[in-house]
Amino acid sequence: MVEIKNILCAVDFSEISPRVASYTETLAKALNAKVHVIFVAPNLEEHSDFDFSLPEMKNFVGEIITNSDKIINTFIQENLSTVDAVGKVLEGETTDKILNFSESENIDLIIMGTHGRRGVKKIIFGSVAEKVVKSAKVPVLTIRPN
Amino acid sequence: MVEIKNILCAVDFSEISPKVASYAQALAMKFKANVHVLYIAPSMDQYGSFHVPSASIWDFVGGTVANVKMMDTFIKDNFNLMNAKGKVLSGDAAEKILGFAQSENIDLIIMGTHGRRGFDKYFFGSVAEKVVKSSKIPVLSIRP
Repeated sequence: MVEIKNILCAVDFSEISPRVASYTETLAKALNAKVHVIFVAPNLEEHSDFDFSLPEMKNFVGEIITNSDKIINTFIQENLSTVDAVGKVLEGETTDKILNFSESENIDLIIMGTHGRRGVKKIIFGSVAEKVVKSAKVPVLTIRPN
Repeated sequence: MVEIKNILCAVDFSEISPKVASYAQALAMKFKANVHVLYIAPSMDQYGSFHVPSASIWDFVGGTVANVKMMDTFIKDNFNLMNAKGKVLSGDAAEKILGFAQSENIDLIIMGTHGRRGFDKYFFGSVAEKVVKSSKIPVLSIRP
């Protein structure tokens, strides 16, 4: 029999994230599983092809990284208050971080959105979901925006 | 709160299919949900541009009857703890899966990302990709 005890809910704090959390909550409740919410902050040096000297870009990414612990806890309070959930902020290449975390924390199921923020994030996160589905050893539940 | 009442378990009767079914059964039991097991047989229309000798047409027709039998056996073997409904359709797999999901009010699609080797492996892998990208409802992808 299949056992799902640890669920990884990967979010990017976009408009799809509450929907991803809502499926996570439903499944975690039914399965009595623990939830790990992770947000992978982009590592600026890995995206040298983008112009991070633009002040608005710098502010956007900088703000997310500095506030992400607070953001993730608020996100859990607002969206996953009825289940056992912990938040974790990681920094680096999103696919690698999700797959590594999934292995090190014995994750049984990954839940994530297929499309995130518009613009830069959409491109980054959309391809992330595709890569995770293709490479993850555990089942992946992908959720598309309405 | 999200509700999961109808689960679609899409299979290709390959080595991954029992694993896909085991997830469908486990989740369906937790949610007291209905399971529809769906197999999409390739349609002759897809080979319209090839010359198909008549003998192979009869093989194909026989094949679909065999598919229904295979579905019955698959359900008996893999859904031992609950009832599941089997359905065999033919045509474009991704389109049929998405169409079935809509017409049967499916809340969750469960499918394998890699199926049979050779032709079907290639075929089914791309089916999963299409379904993940186009489905309005969540898709649970399972790798061998």
